[in-house]
Amino acid sequence: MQNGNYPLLAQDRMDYVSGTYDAVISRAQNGSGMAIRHAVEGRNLVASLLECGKAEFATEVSSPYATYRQICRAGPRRETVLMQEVSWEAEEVVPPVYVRPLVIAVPDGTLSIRLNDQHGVHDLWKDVEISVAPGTILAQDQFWRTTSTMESLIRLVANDMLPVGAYRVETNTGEGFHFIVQMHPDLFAWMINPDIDRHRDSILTGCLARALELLRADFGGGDGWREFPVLRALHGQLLKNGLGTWEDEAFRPDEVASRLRPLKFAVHPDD
Amino acid sequence: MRVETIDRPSLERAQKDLLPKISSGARGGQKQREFLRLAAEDETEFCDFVKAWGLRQGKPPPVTGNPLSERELVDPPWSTEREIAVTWAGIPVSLAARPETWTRIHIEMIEQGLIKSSYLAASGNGESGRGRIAQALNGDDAQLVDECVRTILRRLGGVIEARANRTSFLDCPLGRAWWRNRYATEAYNCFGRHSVEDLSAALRPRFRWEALVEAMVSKLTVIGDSAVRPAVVQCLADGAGNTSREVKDVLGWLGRRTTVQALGALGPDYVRRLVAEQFLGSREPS
Repeated sequence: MQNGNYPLLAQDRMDYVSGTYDAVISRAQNGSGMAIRHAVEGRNLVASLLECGKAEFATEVSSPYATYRQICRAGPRRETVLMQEVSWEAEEVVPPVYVRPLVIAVPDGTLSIRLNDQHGVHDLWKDVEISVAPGTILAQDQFWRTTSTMESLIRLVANDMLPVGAYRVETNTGEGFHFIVQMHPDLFAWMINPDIDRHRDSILTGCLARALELLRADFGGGDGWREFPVLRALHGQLLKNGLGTWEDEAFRPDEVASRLRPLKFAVHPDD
Repeated sequence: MRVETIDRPSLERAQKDLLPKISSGARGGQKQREFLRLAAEDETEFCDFVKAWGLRQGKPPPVTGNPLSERELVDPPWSTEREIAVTWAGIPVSLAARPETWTRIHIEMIEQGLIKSSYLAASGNGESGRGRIAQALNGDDAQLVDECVRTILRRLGGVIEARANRTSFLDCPLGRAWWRNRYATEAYNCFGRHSVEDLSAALRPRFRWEALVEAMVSKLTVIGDSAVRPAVVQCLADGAGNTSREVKDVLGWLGRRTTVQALGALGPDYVRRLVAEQFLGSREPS
């Protein structure tokens, strides 16, 4: 079975001319986990299979560092819009945890379908007979994590062992990869509620410059950084912005950091 | 069970300090030699040194009921693997995946007199840790000193910079045995066709273990699915994946298949049949 053997409803695919699959992810209101609002819009094959109980929504939960992966099925509900809650034991995973919303064919029997105008597919698919095996991925969204990659790159934590006004940047690979910026509690409190945003941005730029220096020192000579999704994302962003990366001989961490403003960060008072 | 661990950022910092880059010219220097000297003495000073890196509070980790020999520590046989699984059955996955946990466990084992710190430097081909450290300290081969320090840190829990979070699965023998037993037990609970011992034995060859871990942690994370992994382990025990190339073929084929079919939703039996049809053919046991 190859990916070209049936149409896939996804943002980066052009198999369908009618319809979209959208998923909105938020934290579950009760306990750990996520709430996923799945919605298939338009008149198309995926919607019709959902309505007749031949397809269902599902969410893939993945924590690679714990070698954990699980597909949580919503079960056939005959609906094209559905709220699904998925959860996992905190002790079974190592952050980051990723979720990916899907629509899959129900796990009983293979369907044979001749595609036509009613299925909302591109002309290329019309009159093509497809075979839909159990579990076939009919629609998919991207992998999501609870915080955006750039926001999770820099974490501020308070450290009362540091002198007043001081901060220190270190790398941490314990949960994916991020930079921990330890700050004296006074500075930490000010960073959360600054009286001048531009001053805060300048401090963050200094933090990022040091962080990029550490990246070059740790990974400049090899490709160990590719292990970490957040560093792959940062690498891609630097290239996209026409900036150098830590792999380049002429890499200037200070200049690159100053051109990446404004920066986002996460706050972890209890880290 | 929340056990005490070494503080992760402190461990990373200490490892970087003890394993300087070759360009620094610090390999074979005083810091590395002092670390080796402490390890060779088999005294609690080695433990104090490691604990001084920093601790994350919790209960002291449990230890095995019997002392382990150097050979048992370096490559735990089945009897030791079983003891490892029982001793640390209460350690959650979230901690067992971390080098800071296994480092703290080894320190406790040394403090309780169940292993010697010099064992950590033993080579894989029978050379004792004490002998290897002596050779490094008595010579002026900076590379040998560096390799010896690296071996100790790997065995303790893993070297984070070199292999990130795969290191506990790959480099630390106690961690490796714990995970191997977990995956073997998972496959046994799914199929019950082979003993846990046989399933674990199927995962022992290095080329199989490394390919499986590399896939689950970084390259083909779908192999870690609770329906896919036990099926893979069962098929390996049934005779699939006898060479490095064959194992990669099995994992790669599954990776490609899961881009179009959510195998995890179909259960381990379904996946096992698929893999067996593709890779065992007439060799599949009835």
